[in-house]
Amino acid sequence: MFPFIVRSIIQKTITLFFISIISFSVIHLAPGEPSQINPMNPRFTPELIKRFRSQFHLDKPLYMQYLIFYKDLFSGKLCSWKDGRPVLRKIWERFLNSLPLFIVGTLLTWTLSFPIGIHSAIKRGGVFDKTATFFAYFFISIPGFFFAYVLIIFVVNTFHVPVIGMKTFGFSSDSLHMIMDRIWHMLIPSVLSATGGIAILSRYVRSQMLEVEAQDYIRTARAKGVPEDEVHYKHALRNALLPFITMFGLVIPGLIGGSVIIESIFSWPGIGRMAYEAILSRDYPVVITLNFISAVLVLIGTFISDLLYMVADPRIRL
Amino acid sequence: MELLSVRDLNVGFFIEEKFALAVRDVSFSVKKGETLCIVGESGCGKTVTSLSILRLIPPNGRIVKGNIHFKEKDLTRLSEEQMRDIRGKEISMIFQEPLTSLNPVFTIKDQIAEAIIVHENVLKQEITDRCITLLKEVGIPEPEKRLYDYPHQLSGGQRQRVMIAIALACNPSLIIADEPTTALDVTVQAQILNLFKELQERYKISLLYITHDLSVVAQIADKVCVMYSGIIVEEGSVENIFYRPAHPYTRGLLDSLPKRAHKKQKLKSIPGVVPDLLSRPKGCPFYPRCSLTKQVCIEKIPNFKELEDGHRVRCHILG
Repeated sequence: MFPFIVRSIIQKTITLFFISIISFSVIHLAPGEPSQINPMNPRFTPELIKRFRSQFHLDKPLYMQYLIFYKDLFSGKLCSWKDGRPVLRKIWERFLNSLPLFIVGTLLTWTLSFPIGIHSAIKRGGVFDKTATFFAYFFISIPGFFFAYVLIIFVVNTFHVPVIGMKTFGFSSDSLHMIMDRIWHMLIPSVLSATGGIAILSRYVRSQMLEVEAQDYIRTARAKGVPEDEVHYKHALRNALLPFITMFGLVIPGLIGGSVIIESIFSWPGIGRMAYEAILSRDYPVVITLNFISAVLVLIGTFISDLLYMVADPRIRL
Repeated sequence: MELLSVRDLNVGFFIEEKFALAVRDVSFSVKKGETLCIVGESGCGKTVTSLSILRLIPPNGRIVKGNIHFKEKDLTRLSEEQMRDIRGKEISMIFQEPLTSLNPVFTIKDQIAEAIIVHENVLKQEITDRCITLLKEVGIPEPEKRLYDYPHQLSGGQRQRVMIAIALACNPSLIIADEPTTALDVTVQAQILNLFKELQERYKISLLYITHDLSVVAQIADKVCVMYSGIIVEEGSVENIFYRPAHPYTRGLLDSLPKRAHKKQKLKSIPGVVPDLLSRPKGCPFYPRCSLTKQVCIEKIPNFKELEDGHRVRCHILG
């Protein structure tokens, strides 16, 4: 196991190096640069543009920019071009805002999809399965923004609580009310981000479970006289869960992803919205840093799922 | 004394909204310590017959008629729970594909022990001992080490031995083996067949052996049922079937065996294919491939004719 870990870390560092080059070049391949954001602005004189370009090293050759950029990033000196604040601190603040949404959404998705999918597969063709299938396709096909507005109208009209933003602006009360206020604000966005996930993941679980239930070893278990519950939850489930280790590893990059649509609808000052705004304003440091961090998280995620596979699947010895 | 006796078994499947009988009026019986072979081409209903005995047919299948008597009990009438007590304890089953019949994520020990734990209250240490004894019995070298292996670490033959160990775990009185050697190569097949014979002599276990391979039948069977398209066309002792075959299908099967003496000869075969489940002929199912077909064959399914003691055949023309 130890050699695998060392080998894997070396390989992933090399991968990361190439990712850093690609994500850096991609943004420079895109048209427009920060100095050209608003050419109609009469205050933007050619001298000013030149000053900007030299301040942000845009006048240097690309490989020099690359070196300067990653040197700044790793020494923590990298600042946003938009407001001059350190990039890492900006990202960290937004990350903390997005984190509760991510945690609640992911927990809901993973805890609900599995029971729904497994139960649908075991009682295939039954009322539960048909209902679950209907709702799964319903939530997969309904556009998120539309469903968000329906939910907002429903919750606001029924419970008379404010739901936009992270908390009610200027609201201060005793701690219990504050907590309730925060929870109300979190409810719709996290449920919303979970519904799509539950719909898709529960379908995967169902089909995976059905596939495993048709395997020969399930018939062997029945022929041994093993009770049905054990056949499903011991023999079938252990095998059906294996492919989800990969998917679980890919949840980790979601930490930095956020959701542009949900955060925009609910005015949630999260990381997705920051990324979107940074792209629009050609704020290269923020965009590339986010890109780089999510690449690191993808690599960490795949590394963790490789390790989990070794624990869960005896056929895999790395 | 008959241990297992199947009477007029009819098993059907819902296929594309239609109901088709895969097994029609099948009757046979197995005595204590006896080996009955069911022979036939693929798709003739032999696997369905064997699965019906343990009531393990897929969910779209139904036993529509018939009785399966096992030790004074009618297995078709038992509740699912009573059936579970029989599976693995009184009747064990061994399947065709040793490569996929064992659960890949559990150790050999887990899978053998499970068969014991489901049916008996035994201590942990005792279970390990029994697993080791079972592995020794089926001829696995170094059983103490192999016990903690996973199925993928064993060869096909060894996996089938483990399957046999699982089947033996609770000292069953009947083992149903559904083409247990088909996926193995010939030398391993011979070893496994010898193992079956040995175990059978030692424990007086009855064996219901399903196969398409007549050379296996010759080695292992006491009695033989030849199945074609869901019905038994001929049954009798192994001598009857091999030396005095009556049904044209049985004769065809025997003729298509390769013989070492005539190397240059082209292998014989029966023309045509097994009819599809949904488009079986009304009369004798074999008539489209039979050289002796007459009008009566096309019109109705023949009844059994007794030729000599225990040798019966379903044919209008012969016998």
